This record gives sequence, structure tokens and C-alpha cells, in this order.
Amino acid sequence: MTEAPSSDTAAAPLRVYIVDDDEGVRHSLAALLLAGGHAAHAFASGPEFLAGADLSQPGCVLLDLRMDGMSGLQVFEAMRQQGTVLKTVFLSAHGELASAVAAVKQGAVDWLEKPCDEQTLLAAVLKAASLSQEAAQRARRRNTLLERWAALSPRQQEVARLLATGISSKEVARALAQRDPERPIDPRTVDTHRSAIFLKLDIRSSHELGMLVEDLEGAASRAG
Amino acid sequence: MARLRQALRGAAPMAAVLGMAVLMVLGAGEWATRNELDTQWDNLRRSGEVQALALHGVATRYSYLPFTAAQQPLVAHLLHNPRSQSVREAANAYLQTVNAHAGSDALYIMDAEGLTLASSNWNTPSSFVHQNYGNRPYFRDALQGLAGRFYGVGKTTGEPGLFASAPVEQDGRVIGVVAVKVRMQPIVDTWAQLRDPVFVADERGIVFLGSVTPWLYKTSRPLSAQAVQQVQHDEQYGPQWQPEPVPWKLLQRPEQPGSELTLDGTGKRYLAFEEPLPDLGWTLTLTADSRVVALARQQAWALASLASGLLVLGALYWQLRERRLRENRQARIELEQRVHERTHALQQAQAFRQSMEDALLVGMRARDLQGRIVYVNAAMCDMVGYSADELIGQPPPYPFQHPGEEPRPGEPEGQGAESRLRHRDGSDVHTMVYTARLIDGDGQHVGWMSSVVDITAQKRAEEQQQQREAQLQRVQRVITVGEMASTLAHELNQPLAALVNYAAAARALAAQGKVELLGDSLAALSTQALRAADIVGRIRRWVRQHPEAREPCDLNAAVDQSLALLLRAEARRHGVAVRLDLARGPLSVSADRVLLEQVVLNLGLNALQAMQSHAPSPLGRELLLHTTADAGHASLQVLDRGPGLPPEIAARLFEPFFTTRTDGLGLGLNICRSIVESMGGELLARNREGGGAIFEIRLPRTNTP
Repeated sequence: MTEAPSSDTAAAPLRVYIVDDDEGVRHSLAALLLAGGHAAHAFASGPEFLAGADLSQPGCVLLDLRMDGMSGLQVFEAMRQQGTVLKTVFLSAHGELASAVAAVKQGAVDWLEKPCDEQTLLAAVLKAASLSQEAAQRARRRNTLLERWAALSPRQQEVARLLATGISSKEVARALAQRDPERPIDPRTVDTHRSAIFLKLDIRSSHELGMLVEDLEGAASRAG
Repeated sequence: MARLRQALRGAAPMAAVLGMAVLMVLGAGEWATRNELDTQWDNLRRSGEVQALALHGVATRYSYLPFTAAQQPLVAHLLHNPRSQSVREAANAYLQTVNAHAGSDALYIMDAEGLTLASSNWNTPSSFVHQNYGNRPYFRDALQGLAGRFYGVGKTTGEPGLFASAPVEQDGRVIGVVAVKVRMQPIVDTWAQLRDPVFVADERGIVFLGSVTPWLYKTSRPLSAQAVQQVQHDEQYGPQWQPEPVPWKLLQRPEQPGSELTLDGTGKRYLAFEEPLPDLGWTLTLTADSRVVALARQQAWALASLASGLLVLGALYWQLRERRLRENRQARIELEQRVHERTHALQQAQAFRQSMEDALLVGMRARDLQGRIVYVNAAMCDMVGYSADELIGQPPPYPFQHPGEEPRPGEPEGQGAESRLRHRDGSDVHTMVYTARLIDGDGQHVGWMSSVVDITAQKRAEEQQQQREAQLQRVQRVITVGEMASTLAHELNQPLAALVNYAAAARALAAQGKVELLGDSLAALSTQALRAADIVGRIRRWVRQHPEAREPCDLNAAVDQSLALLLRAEARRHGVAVRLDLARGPLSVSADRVLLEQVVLNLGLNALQAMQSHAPSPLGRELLLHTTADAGHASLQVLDRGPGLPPEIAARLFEPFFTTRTDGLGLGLNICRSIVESMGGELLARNREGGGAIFEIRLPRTNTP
């Protein structure tokens, strides 16, 4: 996977999904966004959207709260469970303040009450898109690290975890010998491992390694 | 354990009594023995004294005789002339005469050699004359000048007797000896009268006199060889005498005056009392059969045993009697306790029943077979307002009989029957009566027991329930209107939102010069605007669907109804007092009753909300509903103490979608006005003097016949 250059991100059309069961609203939003130069994809219901949208690509979702069948909040929860990088802006009708607030608390970017003016709408869409980009980048970075980490031998991973705590090669050797007396290790061998690890993970300092391992473990615990 | 203790407690006195009885028997035996012994010893002692005296008398009676005879000159003369026949004859005659007078056995004279010269028995075959008694101790003693005394068996006669002797002295020289022999047989003969043996022993312990012949001349204690020789020399007990022990033993008994004599062979025992005769050197022994003592003891034992037996029997009887008394007492106590418990239980049961009856909400009534009331409980009395005293004993018809109800001749079993009763205060009491047979303790059917359940409240509740259900249906309709408003709000928001979006898109497209797309957007915009108009139209249509429902109805009633529906409850929730100022009599108007109520309700709720958002007026928070009537119109004013109506609001008040509330739809007043106008009336609003607003519904009156 190649990382898109940041200059391309601004130029590329924003991916915006519109989920609303009211055809008028759906089409009018699409028209508005298309007129603004964005890539708008409209869906008449939650299931359609979940089936047809690429949840791993950055973008913004305009999600109607009150829909027949699957409600906006249910759709939002389904997206969260799939670990999407898409960011959501809720659209609510009059009198749905409580639901909207709850949605924002659960991680929605914003909520807009219909009818709303153009500027508010576009601002919310842009904000969501940019947050989504960041989330996508974080995800990509983590994936790259995971791949690199996976390329390490089990022994190297073991050494790397110890080095990440900031201790010297000698201490690492002692700790490993203690952990498994049948496999003593020379501090010089640790040094060799260390060079290989830095090379494979594309890092330069033990500090970076520490952050990386922390990240990885965080990701592992989230995945778990 | 307790039982054992009880048995022990019972046995202890018994054992004590038995022990006492045994002790008594033993004691009595001992006492009788001692007593008898004492008596026997006393008897023996007394008898001993008498016998000793008699023996002594016999032994000493003739002591003087030899001495006296020795003084006779004839005696000396004889001794000097032993060969002279005449002297001898004279002496013999003399001795015979004296002997006969004295009553002694024999009186005789011996010379210094011991040869008998003359004797009282000279003319008998056993004459002592010419016999030599020189070896006899009494001769030797007399020869020494002493008075001799000797008991022995006669050498000549072979008969025992007591020999007493005295010397015949002349010129200080003993020339001869006079001796007398006295037979002791008479005294022995008197002893034969005695039941038990009596005997006399000499100083050597040889029995020589006694009632038991075989014992005679036997030794009661061992003799020395010298003594045996002496006796044999003296021929005291005959020439053939040999020492031979008596066939009994004497045992000295301590603490007793005598000894115990035990016969060899038979083992027969005697008490033996020894009375010494010192001047004779003899010992008199009297005996008494010990069997008497044993007999006395046995008798005492028998008597005591009898007495003890009686005592034990008495004790047993006493114990039995005590036990029976105790049992009786216990039984009486138990009976009393049972009676007490029973009484207590009855009291408890009575109290329990009383409490139960008093607590019952169900009326209970018992009647005999003639229908006479025999029992009512408190609930029954409360139900009909009569006291128990007034009811009990009453035959039908009862004071609480309802005039509309026929008294039931027979009573139904089991199933309850509805029955109306007449309370004392004249009100009707609806009851459900369940009747069952009243069965007495003997199983006899003696009447009827009825439980009477007051179902007046239930009846009333049923009626109220019916009314409430009717109301509920109306509320349902009101709620339907509210729901419709909410749905409309959502529906209307959609085209509005679309409108805004299309407008924005159109503006952007216009700026970009994309004419084609602009046209599409504007077309879509028009469509959405028409859609919005259509929705509003639907509201109007919905409102207009009801004119057919118009009917004559009372404006006052509509006010009441809307209050009852929701308004009063809402007012209470808002803490606002509701005041009614209604015109007299019905205000008949032609209207759809439900819609009219909804308008009133809507205006009322508006007023409440106005007061809610406004600081309380100094005049208080009060909702006033005021109806009036003039010639042609009936009017209802809804007056609040809210912020009133500022001019800019008052002008737009009835415009659709105009609202001062954040969550308002802006349709309420518009719809209300539409409804009122559809009824040929008008809805007006103005400020109220002193703060607040007045909304007024004016409707044309209809003339009710």
C-alpha cells in the first residue's frame, strides 16, 4: 500500500455519504454537495449504506436520525463496531435534540437540525472529513508498524520489548538469561538484534521503539 | 433418671422402716435375753441362798451332838472299860436314845484307835460296833481335840453322809471320839423337785451331792495325785473310788454372776450359779436351763417380728395411702390445669373469633329456620346502620329490607345473590349475599348463615369505570391530534430542509454558471415547496373532515370536560390554580363537541405554558375560565397571568408556523382558529388588564327547545 502524498488529499474530492430515507432531503443534499465539488453518495437506508460504502476510506457521513427500519443511531453503532474511519454528522428533525446529543457523546462529529443553512452544513462536512483523514492516517501508520513488527523473529520481538523499556543491552541479556536459563544470550548478540530491529522497523532510537511498542500493545489490547 | 430417683425416694423410707424393724426385732431379742437372764440369775441366786441355808442347816444341825454326847460320863466310862458288856449295852442304849431323839442317822463312840465301841445302830445289820474308822479324817481331827466334820460314803453302810465328830477328853487327854452321821438324802430328795440339776462339790471340786446321780463322785476339776491318794486313803467316796471327770464343762461368763454349763454329748446348756459355803468348804451349784433364755429370746423375736411386721405393713399401707393421696392430688392439679388451659384456650379462641369478626369487612348474619336473626357482626351493623341489639331477634321483614326487594322465601345455597338493602339513613346498599346452612354442634340444621358483601362501592366504581372509558375514548382522539401535529412537524421539516438545500445548491451552481444543473435544482426546489404546501393542506383537510359532527352542545360542559380530560391535571402539575366563572344554565352552541373541547384544551394549555415561562405575577398564577352569554353568542374567555401579548406577536399570532416557543410547531392557534371559524365563530386574543392574555371563543348560540 502506498501512502498518498498530503498535497493530493486537499485536491481530491471529499467523499461524503448521505443516508436519509426522505428522497427530497437526500437528493437536495447531494445536489448541494456536488455543487460544492464534493463526491456525494446517497443511500436511502442504513443497511444499504453499510453494504455499499467503503468504511475504511476516509470521508464524512450525513446520517438522518429518524429513519424507518434502522435508525440513525443504530447505523452509527454498526459503523463503530466495524472500526470505520468515517466520521459522522447527524441530521435531526425538530424535537430530536436528546437523541442528537447522545449521538455526539458517542463520537459523532456534530449534529445539524433540518432545515439548516449551507455554511453550517459545509463546515460540519469539512470538519468531519479532516478528522476522518487523520483517523485514516493513524490507522495506516499502525498497520504499517504491525506489518513490520510481524516481520521480526520471535526472539527479536522479545528483545525489542525489553529494549523498549529503555534498559541497556547488558541488562536485556541478563533479563533474557533470567527468563530462560537454557538460552543465555551475550550482550553483543543483543546489540546485533538491536541493529536488525531498528533497520526492520525503520526507527532510529530506543525512544521511538518505546512509543512503537506502546502503540502496538495498545492496538493489540484494542483488538483483543 | 427421674424415675430412678423417684423409686429411690420411695424406697428410702421403706428401707428405713425395714431397718428399724430388724433393729427392733434384734433389740427386743437382746432385751428379752438380758431380762430373762437377769430373772434367771436372780432366781438362781435366791434359790442358791435358800438351798445353801438349808444345806448349811442340815450340815450344822448335829454339830453339837458329838460334843454333848462326849460329856456323858457313860462315854468316858465306856472308854475306860471297853470290855464291859454292861457298859457297852448301857452306852448303846444311850446312843440309840439320843440318836432317836436328835433324828440323826447314827451316833457312835470310838476309842483312841478308831475302833467303835458303841453305836446307836448296834442292833442293826449295818452296826458300826467293832468297826474301825481310824483312817477317817473326822476321827483324826477329833483325836487332835478338834471338832471334825467330813462328808463321805459310809465304810460300813456304803451310804453317804455327813460325819461330825468331837473328842472325849479326860484330864486334857483325848481318850475317844464321839461321831454322828447325818444323811443328806432328804435334802437331795427336795432337789429332785427342781427341774434343773443342783449339786454340791467339796473343796477338791468332787461332786458329792446332787440331783443328778451319774455326776456323783466325779471331779469337776483336775485333782493332784496327792489329793487322789488322800481321798482313796480316807475312803471318802468308797473304797473303789477313782477320779473321773464330770460329763460337762463350766465356762465362766464375764459380766454375769455365774457360769455356763454345757453338757457333753447333748450340748445342752445351763446357767450355773455357784454359792460357796465357806465354813463347810463346799460349793453349791444351781443351774437353770438356758433354753428358757433362748425361748424368751425367741418369744421376744416372734413378738417383735409380729410387731415389726405390723409396723412394716402399717408403713406400707401408709405409703400406699400417701401415694394414692399424692396421685389424687396430682390428678386434681392436672385436672385443674387442664381446665385452666382449656378455659384459656377457649378465651383465646373467643377473643380470636371476636377480633376476626370485628375485623371482617364482610357482614355476617345468622338466622334460625324461622328467619329470625340470631347473630350479626360489626360489619353487618355498619353496613345497614342498625345496632346488633336492634337486629337480633328480628323476624322478617327486617328493618333494612329494601322496599324494592322481595323478601326471599327460601335461601339459595352456595351461589351468591345480589341484593339491595336499605341503610337506616335511607341510602341503598348493594350487596352480594352468600348463604349456607347453619349447622350446630350436633350436626343439626338450625338455620342459615349468610355473608353479606357490600358491593356498593364496586357498583359505583363500575359506573365510574364506564364513564371513564367514555372519557378515555375522547382523550384518545385528542392524543391522535397531538400525534398528528408531531408527525406533521417532521414531515414538514423534510421539504423545508430540501428547499434550503436546493436553494443553496442553486446559488452555488449559478455562481459556477452551470445553467443546466441550476435548472434541475430549481425544479426540484419547486417540487419540495409544493410538497410542503400539500402537507399544510392536509391539515386543513383533516380539520374540515368533521363539520358533519356538529351538534347542539353546551359550552359550559365543554369547559368541564376539557378540565376533566387533561387541563386540571396539567394545571396541578404546573402549580397553577384553576378558577371557573361559568354562566348559569347551559350555553348551547352548535359545534363538534370533541373539536370544541380540544380548542378549549389547547387554549388552556397555552395559558399554562405562558405562565410557566413567565415570572409569577403579583396577582398570582391562576387560570380563569369564564363563560358568558349575550343575545346571539356564547363566549368562553381563557385568562392567564402570563407575559401577555406584545404587539409584534399579537399581529402574527394566528399565522401558520408562527411560534414563540423553541419546540412549538406554530400550528396550534392557527388550527384552533380554523376550528372555531368552521363552527361559525371566532377566536380572539388580547392583553388582559393587570398582565396576562385573554383568548376568547365566541360562538353563535342555538336556541334549544
